Amino acid sequence: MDAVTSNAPIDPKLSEALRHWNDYANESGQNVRVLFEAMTPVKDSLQIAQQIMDSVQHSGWTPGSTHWMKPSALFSAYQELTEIQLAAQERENDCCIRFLTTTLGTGKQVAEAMQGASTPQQVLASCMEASLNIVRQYQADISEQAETFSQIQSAYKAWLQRTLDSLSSRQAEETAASASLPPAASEPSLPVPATPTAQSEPEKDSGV
Amino acid sequence: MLSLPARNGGRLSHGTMKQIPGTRIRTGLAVTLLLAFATAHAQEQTIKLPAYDADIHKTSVSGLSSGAFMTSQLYMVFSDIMTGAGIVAGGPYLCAKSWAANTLVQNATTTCMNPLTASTGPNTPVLVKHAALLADYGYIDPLKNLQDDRIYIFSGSRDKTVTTTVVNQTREFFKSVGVPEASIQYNKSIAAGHAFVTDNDTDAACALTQPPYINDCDFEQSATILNHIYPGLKPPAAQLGSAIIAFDQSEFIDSAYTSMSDTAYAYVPAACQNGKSCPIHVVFHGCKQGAQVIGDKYYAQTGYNRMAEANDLIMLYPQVQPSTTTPLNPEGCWDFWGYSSPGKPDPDYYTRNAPQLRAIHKMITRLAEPRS
Repeated sequence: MDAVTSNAPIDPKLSEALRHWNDYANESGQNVRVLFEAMTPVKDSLQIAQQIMDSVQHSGWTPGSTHWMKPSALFSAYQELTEIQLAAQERENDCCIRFLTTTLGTGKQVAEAMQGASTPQQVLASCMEASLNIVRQYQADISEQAETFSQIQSAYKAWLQRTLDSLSSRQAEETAASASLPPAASEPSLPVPATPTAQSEPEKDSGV
Repeated sequence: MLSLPARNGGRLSHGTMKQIPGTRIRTGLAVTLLLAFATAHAQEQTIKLPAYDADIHKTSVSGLSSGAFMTSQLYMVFSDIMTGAGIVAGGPYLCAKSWAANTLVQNATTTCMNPLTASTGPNTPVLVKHAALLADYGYIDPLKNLQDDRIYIFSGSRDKTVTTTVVNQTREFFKSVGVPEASIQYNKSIAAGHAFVTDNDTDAACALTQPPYINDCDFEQSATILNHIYPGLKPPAAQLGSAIIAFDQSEFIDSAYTSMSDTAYAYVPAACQNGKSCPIHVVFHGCKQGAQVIGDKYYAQTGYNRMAEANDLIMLYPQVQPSTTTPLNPEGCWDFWGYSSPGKPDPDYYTRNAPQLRAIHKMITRLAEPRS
């Protein structure tokens, strides 16, 4: 094979490795598009604001109705917060271990992949395939980490809501009446009264 | 289009066309038509869902994962016609509304799947209150309908996708809304991953969580679910006596954002086709388990149809498909957080006006119509 000849044949393994990388690039592009579609900060803010307002309205909660020094409620809140922090730390540790495991395995994967390669193109193909596997592993690790962050954020917000509810005077009465249930949050809102479907949803053929 | 060979060796001209024998033209046209016909038939042939005078008041429903959340929704909204439900790896009704400071999708993907702690999982007391309020205002059927129903709930102990912490709250929810505790069968002792369970050794190992999320744990979960909902059923039939029906699902969809497929499936045993008024069981697949993704593995290979054959039950398999635009549903899940009403801060996915629930109720109603 002449390296400067444009007609040099490409090893099938190298072609396959290039195809795999191309597929991965397309897949990543698709994932990025989906991610941007999922980011709706305005709608999310409106949704949370509406939920909180409805919750406060139905419960009649005010800062003045909160018994900030209620010992039993404070103790429970502290206990739950500790549980959350320990659980968060455990999940973060798991993520770190995953990253470390992936990193420690990269060298070995590349070395093993290059075994048996007899031509420069095959060596390149093996490196590319091993690299792609490593990239996919890191991507899975990052996804896991992102999921963990989301779980931690969600948990802290839930804890805050539970704590405020348990400290409210109305909740104290309800808790006394239904001692077997955990402290409940405020009553939620009802859905918007139904409108005729022809008006509320666009026509299927509109192409929207 | 086929290119017709020219008598002059390859170049066609106006004059040459006149010289092509009529027989060749007719042959070419015939071949073209045949190809067009074959192409059309390569896409699935669907029919209009027939009416079978089904016994609508013995309807039941079951599902896995997002299908399990959808099961709770269909069951609670239309409890007037329901006799029971089977929830496999799913959370309580309205789970995504658990915590006001989280968005619905945040709750759906954290609180309702793998919460950090039990105290930050589904907020069952709030969900029960909300359900009662919805029933009082007529958005869902009255909760008193649930008092004579039977519920099957399952959570695999190796399931890290929708954890047992979440599924525990499903049981608490149904107990709180009036289902007698003795009527609830809750199995959380099997070391199963996040999957529907079969007794088929070609399926994945029991503890795994991987596509197509159908695992061999040495028992037929479809039979277990149906036996709990309808006590005294016969064992599954060895063979099916009828063909699975592929029907036009788009007929029942009146919204552009349901993410539901054009085609869905049903299995109707011969007895139900020929005069018997049979109960309907609705089966919801999970995320990435629709026919567009895994073919017939869910609607044909999870054991439901053999139970249907042996016990004269109609199986209905609505289908949802992945969507990476609007609505955003890349995994092909059923809607338990509001994607079917994009752009609305307060989407309705959980009452009788919800787009997906409306469509499925129409399918059930069609099956229950008198035979034409």
